[in-house]
Amino acid sequence: MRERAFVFGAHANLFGVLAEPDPSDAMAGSPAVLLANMGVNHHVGSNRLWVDLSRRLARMGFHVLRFDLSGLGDSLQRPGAHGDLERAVLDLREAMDFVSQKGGPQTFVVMGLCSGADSAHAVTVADPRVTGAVYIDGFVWRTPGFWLRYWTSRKLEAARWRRYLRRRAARQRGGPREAGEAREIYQREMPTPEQFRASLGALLGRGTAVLAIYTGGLMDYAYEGQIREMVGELSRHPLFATDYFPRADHLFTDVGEHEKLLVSLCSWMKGRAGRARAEEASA
Amino acid sequence: MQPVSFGTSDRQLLGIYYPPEGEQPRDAAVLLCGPAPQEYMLTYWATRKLATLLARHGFPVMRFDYFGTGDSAGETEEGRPRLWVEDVGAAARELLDVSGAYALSAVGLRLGASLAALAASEGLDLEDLVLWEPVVQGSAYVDELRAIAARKYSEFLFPPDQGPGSGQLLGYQFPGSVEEETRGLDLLRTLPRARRRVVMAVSEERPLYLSLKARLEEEAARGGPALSWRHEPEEASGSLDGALLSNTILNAIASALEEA
Repeated sequence: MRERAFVFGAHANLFGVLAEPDPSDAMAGSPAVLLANMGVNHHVGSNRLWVDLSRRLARMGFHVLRFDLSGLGDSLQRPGAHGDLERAVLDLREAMDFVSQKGGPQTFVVMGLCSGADSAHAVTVADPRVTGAVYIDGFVWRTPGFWLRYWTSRKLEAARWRRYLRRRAARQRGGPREAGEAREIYQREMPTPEQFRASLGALLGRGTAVLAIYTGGLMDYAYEGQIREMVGELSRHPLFATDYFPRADHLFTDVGEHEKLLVSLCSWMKGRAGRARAEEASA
Repeated sequence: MQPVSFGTSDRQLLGIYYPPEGEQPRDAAVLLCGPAPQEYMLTYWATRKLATLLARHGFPVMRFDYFGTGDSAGETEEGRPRLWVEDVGAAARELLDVSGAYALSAVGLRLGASLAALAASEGLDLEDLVLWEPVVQGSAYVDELRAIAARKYSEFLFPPDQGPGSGQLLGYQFPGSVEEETRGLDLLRTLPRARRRVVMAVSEERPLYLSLKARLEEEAARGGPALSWRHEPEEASGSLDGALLSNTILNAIASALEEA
């Protein structure tokens, strides 16, 4: 495995680090992985998540580019006026071009956490080179099952009462605060449930695999099966997979949960590579 | 902006070099030494802003990631202050090489200030050393991080164990040996040195900052480096938010380095 940092893109404004497998490890036909920003955090990822994932996947044989979308992290602004998602799609497409030019694969898996899932989804819909997408605490809306639990079983969970007491005690104590404690100050352009189901159906229909991961730290996600309630029949599609980390917070701060996420993502990618090889063999 | 890879084959480090802008580059290059992993993401934007600001003022500038942090090689649990002091030296050599500058100054933020000061005490030749919100004593710093973690985790449904012996702190591996080494750092014992001047850039007058200031003033009176004290209260004084997002202290550091 080796890593190199590059400035790339049509406007030479994008910055990223390409992790490449040793030639003996490289898996022919497997997709490359693109990792962009989690919110406004730069390409290293919260708690170094993207660095750890890049290196682990590269050791498995994947090419991985972690990079900053224009105007974020170490990437400079893109010239011209664009909406956030439009700009992200342009950036991600240039990242794909770059990886392929560097001798990497022609197909891609795009992963995003939180608002990073928005841009991952947008480019997956827009570009057929994306054959897999991972949304971590990405798209969510409150379902009847959510509300049922919200008003009943959640009120009885001991962990929630313990948190209530911890919060109250912490407020009374005062003391130092971390800047990141501030609530998110940006708005996400979340698709409506109908729009999301329609685009997910189109993706699965064209053969793109989707992995949706949720944590117990996402306020609007109440139970493991909520995603199945959200997307209905699509949840049974063979290319659709889910995973749930009830004890993790949104950024997988606990090192044990961080590790479990890495294992889950690497396992899913291993399945993707196996499928790519099978498709290549049958072609 | 130009990525640079340096260090040894088993300890490859990533830096980002910012060439000086304008027609007359300054004589001394500036090395930015960032904080430890727990404060890395929070301070990233401030260090990037300072790098571009200083480059616009004509300084060749480099910022970099220590071993086991950011984009540099190494697992998180492998990084430790002793290695990071060596990384400061390696980064300094790289910056002088890539910029062609003959002299070097350093800006250290939080734990990076302690690491730069230790590197200087072990022979790194610095014109100016800027201590930006420095970690004066490692013990107080670790206790402060634990207090921040306790407050932050009060919001979590399942708070991670982050006490001594848990091996983690604020999202990163934090082995007992690293904690012990970190707690041993003490700028009141190993006084920061520079050829010309030590600058303290702080947003509030914490007792430990004032103790270090007093020691550096005594040292200056005995013929040591001059001390420049820059107290720049931020709008949101008392919280890190203001210090991290405002330009006030960045401009104060740039103007301090510009003074001949």
